[in-house]
Amino acid sequence: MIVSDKKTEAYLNRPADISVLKSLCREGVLSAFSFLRGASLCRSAEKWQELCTTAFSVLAYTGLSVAVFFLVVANWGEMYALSGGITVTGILVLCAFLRLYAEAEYAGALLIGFLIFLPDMIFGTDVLLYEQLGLWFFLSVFWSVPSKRTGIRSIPYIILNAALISYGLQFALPFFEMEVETFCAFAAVLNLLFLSGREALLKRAPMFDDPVFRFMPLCFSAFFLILGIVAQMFFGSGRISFVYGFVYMIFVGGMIFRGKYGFEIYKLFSGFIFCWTSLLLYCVVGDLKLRHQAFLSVWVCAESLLIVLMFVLNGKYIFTAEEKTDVD
Amino acid sequence: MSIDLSVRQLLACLNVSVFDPVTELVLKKIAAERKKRNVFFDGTFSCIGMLTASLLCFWGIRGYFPVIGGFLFCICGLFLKKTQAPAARFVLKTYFLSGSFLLGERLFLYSPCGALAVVFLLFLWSLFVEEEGRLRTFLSVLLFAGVYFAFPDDRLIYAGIFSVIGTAMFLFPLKRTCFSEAGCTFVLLPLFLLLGKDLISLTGTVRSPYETLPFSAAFSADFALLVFCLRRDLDLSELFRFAAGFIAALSVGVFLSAGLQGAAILFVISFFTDFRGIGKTAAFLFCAFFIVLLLSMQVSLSAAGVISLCFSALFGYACFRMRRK
Repeated sequence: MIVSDKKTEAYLNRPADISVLKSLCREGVLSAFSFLRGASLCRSAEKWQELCTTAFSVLAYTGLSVAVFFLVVANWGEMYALSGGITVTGILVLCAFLRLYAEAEYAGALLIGFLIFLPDMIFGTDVLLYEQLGLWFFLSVFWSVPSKRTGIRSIPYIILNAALISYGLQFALPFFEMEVETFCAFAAVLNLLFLSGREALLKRAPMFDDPVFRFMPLCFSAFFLILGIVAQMFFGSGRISFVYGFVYMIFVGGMIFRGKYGFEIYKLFSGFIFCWTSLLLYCVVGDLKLRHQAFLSVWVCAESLLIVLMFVLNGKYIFTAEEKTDVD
Repeated sequence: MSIDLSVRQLLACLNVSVFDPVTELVLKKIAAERKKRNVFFDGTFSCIGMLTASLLCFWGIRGYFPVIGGFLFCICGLFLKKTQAPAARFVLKTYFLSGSFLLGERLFLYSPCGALAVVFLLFLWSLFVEEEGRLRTFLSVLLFAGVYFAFPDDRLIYAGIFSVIGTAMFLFPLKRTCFSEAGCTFVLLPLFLLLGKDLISLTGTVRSPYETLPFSAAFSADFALLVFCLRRDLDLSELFRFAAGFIAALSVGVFLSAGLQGAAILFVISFFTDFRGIGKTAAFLFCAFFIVLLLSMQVSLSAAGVISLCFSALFGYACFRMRRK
């Protein structure tokens, strides 16, 4: 046929790529021995050049990081002296001048922490870890304010939560200032308050316009709630932390229902519901007072059903959202 | 080659006439194909979820009710044939898999070779069914794992053989077979296995050079297969470069790390077959083996730092030259 139909014409005019090549070989249009020649014709030199460049740069940075690690450890005795602190300070000043480069900016954020921990290593002060992390948090806020990089802006937030965990482990819990479950609920509420503050200050403080300040507070509050529930299951009594988790679900579920958050937050929230429900199942099956092996079998089968249910519900949610988008 | 060729131009370059009646019929058939897939339930994330749920169910009931395996297999298999709804198929596939695992475990305990034979036949069947890409991947992994556990004395040799088979699958795509998933699995799993062994050996035991020789030999065979496929299109200078590259890779494999050799050769194969996904994985594996090599060097800390710095400078220079091209 000298004039092919529209579908065949469209297929013949589409750009050739590896998937087309594979289907042509599979259908017998091209022989197995023509595959490599076809691949050389379809190959995009720019994309492969980009891949090779990325691979070499990752290898170069990896080698450099490992070299720095080995050389610092090999000369650890000098690090312990004041000269080590002066050297690190000099490198930090250099990073401040070069902070247009991402590597210098991230190195600077880490070096601030290193300088804070160095006096304790050199002089053996009795400062508590959470105090050092708290100081690092304050100084990293000043470092991150002028930055537009998401990773740099999220560093103070991560250090703040690390300080919170350290406070709990070093001070609040060993001295019975509060119970594990209460501490975790407190940390979760702090993170959620940060999110609320962010939403309120959104247009007035440009630093908070980064989407990471919406994602991370929810992530950390879910993490602390799950931790609190786990700790309460194994060390505490009563089911109060499940109530906290339930209230959290209602709060975030309501925000998602009102369309306040995007699909990424929805996925995080689904993960939280899954963890919370798994732990609830663990408690419920535990209440049946079965033998250990029977208990594990029942719980694991229930988990299997839960996973299937989560996927079916997620699939239906996505299908409904797609239908709504098509109608709009 | 950076020009975007159309399918018509590609066929013309490879001396295939679109006016040939047989070719024209096949092209019409390819053009008319329209695969309807549910984006969520057929995605990778859902497959992982399905596998996790089925493994959990299998683990939960295997000690108590092995007969349930047959029940799940038959009932879920029967309803799978009748149901088209994606959500229902997802649920049925999950518990069909659990039943298959239970039956497969019983068969493996009774006769490992019998179980392997069943898996191998299923794997061969899946090579001819275009839609079952995930099943192909799963069966490839199962076949590899089955051979690994069924033959403990020669497992390294068999892992090397799988690597060669996977490379052959990439380089010789046969008519009416779907090779990508199986080929990817067979070339990647031996490298991940080797990486695992290298990481374990980092804990202190001295690695015997003989353990990696089967892998070095297999990776060298992969490279030789590639050169064999390209032999008609290579000129003399390219042949010399390939030979030099082969000797360098073999030396690295024997004296330094077989993993580095394998990852580098896999990257070269992925370049010539234009499988960018495999290329990225090979690059990642090369980085991992490089880190393991640096950490396992039997030298002083200062010397290790200097050697790492030299490697870093070398790769940095290569990156710089690549950017300038």
